[in-house]
Amino acid sequence: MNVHTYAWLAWLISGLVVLTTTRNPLIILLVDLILILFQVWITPPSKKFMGTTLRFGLSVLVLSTVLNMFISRFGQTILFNLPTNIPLLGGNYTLEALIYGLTNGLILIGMFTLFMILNQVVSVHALVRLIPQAFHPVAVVTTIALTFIPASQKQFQAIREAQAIRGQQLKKLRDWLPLIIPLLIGGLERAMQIAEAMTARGFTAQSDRKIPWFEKTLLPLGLIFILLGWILELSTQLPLSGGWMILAGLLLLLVLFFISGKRVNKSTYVQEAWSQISTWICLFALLLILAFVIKIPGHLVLAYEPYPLVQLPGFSILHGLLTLTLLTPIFLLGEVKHDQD
Amino acid sequence: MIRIDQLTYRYPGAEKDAIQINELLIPAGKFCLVIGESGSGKSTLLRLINGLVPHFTGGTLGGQISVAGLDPVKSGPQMMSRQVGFVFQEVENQFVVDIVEDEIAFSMEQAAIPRSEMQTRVKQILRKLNLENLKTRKVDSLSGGEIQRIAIAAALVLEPKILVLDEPTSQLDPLAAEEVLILLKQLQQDLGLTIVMSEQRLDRVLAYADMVVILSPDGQLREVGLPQAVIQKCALKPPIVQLAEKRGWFPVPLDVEQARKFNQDEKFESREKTSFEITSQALIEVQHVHVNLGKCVVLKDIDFSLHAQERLVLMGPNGAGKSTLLRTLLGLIAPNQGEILFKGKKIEFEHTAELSYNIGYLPQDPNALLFSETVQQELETTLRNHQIPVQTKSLEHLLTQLNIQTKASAYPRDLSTGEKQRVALGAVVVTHPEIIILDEPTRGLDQQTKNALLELLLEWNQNGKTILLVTHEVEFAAAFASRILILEDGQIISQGDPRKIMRTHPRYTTQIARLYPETDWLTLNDLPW
Repeated sequence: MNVHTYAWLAWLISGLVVLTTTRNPLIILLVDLILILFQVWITPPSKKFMGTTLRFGLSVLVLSTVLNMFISRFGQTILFNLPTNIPLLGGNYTLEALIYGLTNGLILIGMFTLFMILNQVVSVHALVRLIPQAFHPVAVVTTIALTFIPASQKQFQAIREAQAIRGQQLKKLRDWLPLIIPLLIGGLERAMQIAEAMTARGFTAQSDRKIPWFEKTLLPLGLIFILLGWILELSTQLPLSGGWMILAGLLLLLVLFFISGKRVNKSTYVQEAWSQISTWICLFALLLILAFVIKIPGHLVLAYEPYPLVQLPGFSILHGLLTLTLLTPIFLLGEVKHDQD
Repeated sequence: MIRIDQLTYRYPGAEKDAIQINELLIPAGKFCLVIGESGSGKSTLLRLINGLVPHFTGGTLGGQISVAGLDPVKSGPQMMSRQVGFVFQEVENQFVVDIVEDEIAFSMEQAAIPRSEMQTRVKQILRKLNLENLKTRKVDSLSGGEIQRIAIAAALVLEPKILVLDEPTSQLDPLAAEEVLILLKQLQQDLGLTIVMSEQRLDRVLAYADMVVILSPDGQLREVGLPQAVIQKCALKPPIVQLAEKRGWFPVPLDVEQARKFNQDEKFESREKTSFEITSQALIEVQHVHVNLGKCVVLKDIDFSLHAQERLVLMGPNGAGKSTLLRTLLGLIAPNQGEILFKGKKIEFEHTAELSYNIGYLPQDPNALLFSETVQQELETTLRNHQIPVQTKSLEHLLTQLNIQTKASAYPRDLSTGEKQRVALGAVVVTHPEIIILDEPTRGLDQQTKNALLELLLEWNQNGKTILLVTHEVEFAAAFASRILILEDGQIISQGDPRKIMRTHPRYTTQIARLYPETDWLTLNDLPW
């Protein structure tokens, strides 16, 4: 897709802002539906999607709702109650707690789907390229970690099957133990193999240049400034008394990263081109963020609270329409090319 | 190009040296084949060439090694990566990123090669290896042969003088393996590359090598020289070399093409054809089974039976659906259409754990089965899962059959590949199942271990076991099978008598069958001499 990774990140941030600035279940539900539609659009036809996603979504909803009903006993609409002499479980179970838990579940589904989409549209390498040069080893370790997840999932499946063919049925928690040990050991073995392969391909070849003394002092100096600034902020009532010191410390760290980055002798294979589509995606993302953080008409419905007595949530047509901007990439790109299986 | 002098290397905590080589010279531009039993130090020797040993492993090194004028011990593997491209045995585990072109560019990024130069080199290497259409593909969507070629491309993109490969064809079907070997030979000739490769399947690779290095089980250099000279001193020779010795052919042919000039005047009549008929009871019946994984059709209308005391071998290219078929037989994958019956009963309502009492299944990777503290406990766990009382004598007998009786108290994951394979096999057959199913059981095994496995499986079959196995090794299949079934593109394209099948499908035939196409001989045992 001809969209810059930064544009995808802007899109992700706008989605996260929406999901974290409102508790209105109707708007969150709308966002979830938009994101699921988005994921259906980008998922190759050969991959299982709906079944897995629906199962996951349903289990998140049930879990967060039930958990909240157990934890929160507030609210006036009592659905049922258990005798109070039952430890932990006794007491009222309310509709308000159910709605609150349900909303939590919807937010989690939205966030999960956002990251799933990002994972599908942006390659691991493109994401890692955004990490500054000074953190090159961190960047590659992140790469490994990200490629490790699908590999571990495959391995987990293989081990589960391997245990089943030895007569192991997963009925009790204890039965899962034989799966964990080979998974951990296999994971470590695989990590060693990747590390070995990376070393053989020249990773972490250090330059012979010595680190100058002033560069060595930047890190401790920056940290001292931040720490002192923080202490000042906490101990004095004067506005911004320590803020300047924290800012100075952060600046020192930035200088350090810039200098260290220059020292890393490495090049990048692809420089992503910025496209007009990327500009539009960023603009719409900014619009969406502003709409949810600035008080525009209809903003009052965003702060929905089911406690103490549940009421029907309101709905802002303006905010509802603006959430549709999350579909901007679909409208601008038209179609998506799937990788062959 | 590579010079070794009085080299010894010992892994940390080991009691003896893994490698002891007094003198070895591999000249520039040669294709050097390194052979030896499992644990003889082949991988260690290869890793010494690019400095992974001892830099990555630690340990004690003595003597000297010089590679392209550099000392890998002093230079380290990162610097050596400019001189030595390395392809690992489990090639899918060496990939760092997910897209083909990014993967190929990874080592160039580390070497700070300018972007324009990188793009040119990626283009060139993809063209050279005929991989241009895979440039933007995800690595995990590629076939076994494609993955191997990408790994070679990634190793060559820094334009090293030496290419080192650790058993590059061990997971490939015969055709894909041949393609990789032809490619390597071409690269050697076109680029003047020095290739150092370890391999177990000598029948495949011997003819491509310019020199052979044989390591003894204790890591010593036993022989080095031209393939024709060295292979005669090797204990485990490919069938064509054994035949040449019997017939007194000289110089020793290394493959069927070379052997043809010796037998072109020989005329043989085919033995009387034996009729192929299965009379025993069907234990497993697969009826018109279709399997889809996602929306991808993996198996189409599979219909066959596995009969009592049969030795059925399933063959086919990488990605044909062989492993999926085996997993479907065990109930690990539910068919989208069709039925599977075990002794006349549908298996769809039975859990795999219950089926495994009567059907022992050994998957490709034995490591997935091993988690106990000792080999003995590994076997006992299976018995406990099936609520069968542990009988020490019976366990001892099985361990002896598997030739791991001395390893009963060893930690299973510390054992050699062959030993791990046998422990895993023990763990699935300890219930004495009627049927044993094995998925590529010879993968990563040396010839001696393969022969031992073959003998064991034949003995079990004679004692009443029904065995179904998947393999890419035609010589193993010919020596074992009572029936062969060929699966291609998710469909059974042929099944029947091995003699007939191997003749009608040249991709799956033995050296002897290719040399004597007018007869029905498959192995050396079939020959009249």
